[in-house]
Amino acid sequence: MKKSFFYLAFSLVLCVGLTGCLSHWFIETTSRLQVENATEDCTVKSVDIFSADSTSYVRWVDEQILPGERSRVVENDWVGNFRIRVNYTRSTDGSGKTLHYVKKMEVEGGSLFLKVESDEDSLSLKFR
Amino acid sequence: MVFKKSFYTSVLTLALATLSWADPVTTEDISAGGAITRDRQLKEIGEILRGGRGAYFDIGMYYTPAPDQLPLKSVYGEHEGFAFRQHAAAFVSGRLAEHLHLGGLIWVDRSGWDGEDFVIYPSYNSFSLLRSDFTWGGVLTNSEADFSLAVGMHQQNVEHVGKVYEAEEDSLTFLWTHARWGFASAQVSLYQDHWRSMRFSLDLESREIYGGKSSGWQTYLPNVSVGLYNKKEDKDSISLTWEQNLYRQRLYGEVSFDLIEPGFNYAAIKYYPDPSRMLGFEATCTRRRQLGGASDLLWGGAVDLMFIRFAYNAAYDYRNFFGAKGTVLAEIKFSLASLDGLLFGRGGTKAAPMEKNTKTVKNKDQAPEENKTIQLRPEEEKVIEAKGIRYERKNPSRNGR
Repeated sequence: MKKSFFYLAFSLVLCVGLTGCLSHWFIETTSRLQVENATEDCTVKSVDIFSADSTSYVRWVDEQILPGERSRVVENDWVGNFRIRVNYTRSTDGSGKTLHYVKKMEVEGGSLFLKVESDEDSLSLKFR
Repeated sequence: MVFKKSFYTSVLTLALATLSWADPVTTEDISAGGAITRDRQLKEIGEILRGGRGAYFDIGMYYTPAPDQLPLKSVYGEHEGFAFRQHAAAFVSGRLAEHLHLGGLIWVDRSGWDGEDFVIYPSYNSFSLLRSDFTWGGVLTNSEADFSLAVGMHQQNVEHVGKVYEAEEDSLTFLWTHARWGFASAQVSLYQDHWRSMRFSLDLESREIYGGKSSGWQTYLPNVSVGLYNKKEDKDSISLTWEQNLYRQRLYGEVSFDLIEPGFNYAAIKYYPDPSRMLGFEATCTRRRQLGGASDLLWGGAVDLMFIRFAYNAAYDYRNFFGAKGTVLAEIKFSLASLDGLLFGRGGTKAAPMEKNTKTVKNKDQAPEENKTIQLRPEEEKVIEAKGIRYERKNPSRNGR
């Protein structure tokens, strides 16, 4: 009885002590994002996280991405469900009026590859 | 990354509980956690100082293994991570002179929300808030007059505050005092020159552990406490808590109301298999804080198994763990109070039944005969010689085999 109690207490303490280590085998607590502009006629100016009440944003990728190009990898603390805002222009050289495209997405953490694609008249975002 | 996180999450969700789903905690709740922690620490100190002497020890932490069990809801969305609370407390006292006891106490809490759940090495990301609260002080008790006076300080230190929280000061110091005379006690917590909270309690219930009755009508008297809270922006509040023994100090009912903005706070039915309160079961009903003008009730309960406590939507956790709800919480913990060599749980009314070493003598008139033990003396050793070898039949009844 005493021995089994000791083992139980020991394993509990071990579990608690290693709780962070155990979960870190599986989960990522930061996201490393690379954005690819897979459109042919748009330039991605930047990528933000847009607040739920649409009043503020935090810039994530601050880089002009021309059609067919990829951004640098930017690491940040965003893991969860957020609204991603892509700021883009309808030109291949980044000139003209900046437009916004907002989509709620699940940011899973780890290495993320965000592909910005365009249909005939709309943009679409895809994590790969 | 060997496994995808979604795989990990689904396995955990299956393994933990089918009931478990994610309800986020808000940044406002995390920001308000400091004042709630200090109030709870004072309340616990009041319960322990009901005798004013003895000793108390407590250690524990919530264990929430999944990162989407208690996500954080900020203006940007839901962040995966871990709400956490670790706590420890100690109170010791010694006798200075006859009827005069001097004690010291310390209550420590570390709580907040972080992106990782390492106990020692936090991640401090942009959305974390880690805060520790120390409440310590000295106690002087005159056990003949049944009077205690305790004075001490709260210290709150913030390790890290992320961008999404309201600004907090790195460290805050509060002064608190607790005075008890018999069953009546008063507590005040002060910040600089103005009060932050006060609590007046009448613990009328007779408790055997503090020299009261073990049964009878005195044990059915209520424990009433009134808490006054001086919050920011002149939003003061008064809450009344009524605890009532319903059956043999094993079954209790507890109700809490807010008086200024009249409203039901929570109600609980608690069952302690033993009045020492080492184990406990409770069912609670909590009024959720108003969300967009609507308020509804949260039904839940908790099972306290001395070393571990499981709770689901329980009133205690809703108030003291950042409004955590919608998920099964496990708290690994241990606490024990002691008085004159007797052990009991915090708030207990009787000492825990302890193992007793009793001998029963069947025939007390007859003295047990002594020296009946056979002594082997080496000089009288007998030599047994084998004179023949005899085989014994294994089954004498069955011949012919």
